[in-house]
Amino acid sequence: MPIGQTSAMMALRDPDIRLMLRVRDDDAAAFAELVERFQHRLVAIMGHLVGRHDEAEDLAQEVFLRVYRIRKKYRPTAKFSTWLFTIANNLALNALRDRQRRPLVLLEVHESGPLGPRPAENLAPTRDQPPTQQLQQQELAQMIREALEGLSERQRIAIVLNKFEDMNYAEIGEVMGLSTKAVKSLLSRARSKLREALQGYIYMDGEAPPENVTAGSGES
Amino acid sequence: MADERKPDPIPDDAIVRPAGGDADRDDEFDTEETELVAYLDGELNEADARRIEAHLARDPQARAKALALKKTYDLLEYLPRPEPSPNFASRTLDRIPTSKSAPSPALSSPSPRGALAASHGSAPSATPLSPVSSYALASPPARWRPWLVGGAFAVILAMGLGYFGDAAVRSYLHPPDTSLSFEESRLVENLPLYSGVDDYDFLVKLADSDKFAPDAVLLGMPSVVAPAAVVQAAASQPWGNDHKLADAFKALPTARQDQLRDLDRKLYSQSPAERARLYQVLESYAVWLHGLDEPERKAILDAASPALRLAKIHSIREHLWQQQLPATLRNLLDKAENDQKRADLVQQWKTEEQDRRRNWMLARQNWETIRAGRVPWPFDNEAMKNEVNEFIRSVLRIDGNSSGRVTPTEAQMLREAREFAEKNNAWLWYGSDLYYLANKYPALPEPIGTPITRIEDLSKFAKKLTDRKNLRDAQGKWPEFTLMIAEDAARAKLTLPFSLGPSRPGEFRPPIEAFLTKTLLPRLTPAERDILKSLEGKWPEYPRKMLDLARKHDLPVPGITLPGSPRKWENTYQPSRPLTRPN
Repeated sequence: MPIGQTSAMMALRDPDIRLMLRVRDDDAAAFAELVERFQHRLVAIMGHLVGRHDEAEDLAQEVFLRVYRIRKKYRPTAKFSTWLFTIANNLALNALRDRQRRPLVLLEVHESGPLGPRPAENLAPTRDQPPTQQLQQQELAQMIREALEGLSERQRIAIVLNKFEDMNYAEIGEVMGLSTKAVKSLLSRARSKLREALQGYIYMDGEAPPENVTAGSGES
Repeated sequence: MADERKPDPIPDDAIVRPAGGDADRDDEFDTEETELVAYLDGELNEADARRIEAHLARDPQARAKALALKKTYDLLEYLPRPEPSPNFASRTLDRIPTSKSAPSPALSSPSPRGALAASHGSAPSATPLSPVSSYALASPPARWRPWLVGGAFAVILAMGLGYFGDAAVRSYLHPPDTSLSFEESRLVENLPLYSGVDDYDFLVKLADSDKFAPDAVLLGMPSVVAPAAVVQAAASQPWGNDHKLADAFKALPTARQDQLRDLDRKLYSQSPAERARLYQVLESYAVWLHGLDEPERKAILDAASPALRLAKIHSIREHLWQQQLPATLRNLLDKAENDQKRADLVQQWKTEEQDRRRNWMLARQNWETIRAGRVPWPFDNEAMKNEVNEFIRSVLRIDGNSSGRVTPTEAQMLREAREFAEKNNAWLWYGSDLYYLANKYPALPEPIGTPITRIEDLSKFAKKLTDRKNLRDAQGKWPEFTLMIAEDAARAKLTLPFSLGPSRPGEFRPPIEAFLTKTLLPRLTPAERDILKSLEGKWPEYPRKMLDLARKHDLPVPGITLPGSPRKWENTYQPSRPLTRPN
């Protein structure tokens, strides 16, 4: 996207863009600062995507290294994080696809991973009990992870960017190379799947939902 | 947030009609749900949002679905947020392309700086991050202004360390250790001065190049001496507070930290005078560096090796020097026929300037003497004058038309200075020339027998030694010839079957023997005595150490050094001594 003078000026007001321009100009201190500034967000996103902490860190590290490698090609665009997460998206997608090709490894990894889902039967007894109160928070987290794992890779990426990076559809589209419409569809399918997987764990409080919907978890 | 919007009461005739164009690639997918999600995400335009709200208001099932969508999405917040491990950032930085083990091809110097560059360098294909600039260049370009000295150091710090900015964020990874050792806190205080310097060797070369002498201001150079008070004030600024500096130091790559520690240690193992001199060079250099335009500063910091950095400093100073010449001189320079002529002119002016400068320094040092029209020490005393003459004759060996150990030009210079002194009763310049020559040609005590000063004295061992041209030229000169032999023998790892010179008590000629045993040894501290003892049998180490110690205890060595107190000579005739040194 070509930047007019105004947006160029705005871009330069963005501290992240300024930082990246310093990285581009071989300022090693700037690169260190960049890592400091974005490590939390990147590791979080990668962690939500792949479910394993070590793998998430490896991926986040790859993102930073790639940023460094292609720093000379950086051109200030509207938002630096969009550029950064585009790189993250590509790497995550590759990693997730790789994983699919090696299901055995995946299985092993999941069983030992701290964030990996436990065998479903362990959780089965609680599955239909509505209030999340009764679930240990950790177990709830396991269920949510499992629900996320149930999404396609692209759905998962879109969800994670939307939920944890507060990205709107246009930004997600830019990061993932999709039209806004495609993102809209991707997200609604993902949200639908999540609703199906997790409806049993929500309180339908406040709104006093109509009775015919309270058993919604059995619907699908 | 959009998903917290409560459905407003909407007229019942509002129609929910998801646009057909919104159909995604999966056409079967429930378009109602797509619109609901988009609505919850605040992604619908005003009109579409109103329609959905109307629909929700009418349809309890749709409302329930929307709520379930929202609540299940909210559940995701229960996921623990994965946090990077404490060493994530440093591990990542360590992986930056040029690995520590492989020296960067961009570097011409195999010095430890290679490791520095490597740890934060760049891929070979890209512009290499040079060793210094890899922790430099963070500074905003700023023009030198004399009244900004305090601020200047802040910038130099940022410039020279670069990691400064990073340090604040890193500090929680490496919690600041408040209990810095004495040496470390000293090092940290000096950090702003050290940051543009490679190592001790670099500093010494910088100092010897005489580019950052305390009187540089006399040359019309914009580099000035930063008065100690200003530096101290600067050091107490918020940016300079030890905490931040300590963090900045700790954020440096380990190799660079070690290098700086080494620099600091070596600097502080020097004599106070030498340290003061080097410290002053550090200050002038730092201020000067700061005052440069960005491209010039960058060129210096980007140099790939200490030698190239010195060369760059030299050429920039040279350039600035020519720029500050008076217009008439610059015109002469422009009109010069060729480069050689130009170089000759520059050389000539520089020599003149150096003389002027030295004279000014001397005059300033001895202002009282000059104003009072007094003859300076030691020429105010006939006995001392005779001793000085004897020194010239027997130590420098300048006698009649023989230039002895000095060059003919130097001998001539000294003669002229002497004539000038006698004629004008102005002895300062003569004393200064003499002091210069005495330092340039240090003597060593001769052995009791005939010193080895000719190639034939060496017999068959001569063949094993490098047949250097200057070895022949030095024939007959003690200790020059003999020193060369000692050097060559050491280089060839050859143990000579004979002693080159006196190297323990009992081997010296009577006056020196008496000086050593009766004057010097009794004054030495036990530690000094031990050091000297440990060098027994080693030539020239033993006599050199002996002379060092004599100087340290302010004792002249008969027949070897200038007569009278070495310190007094230095204070009177050493023009580059730091002005502020208390004495």
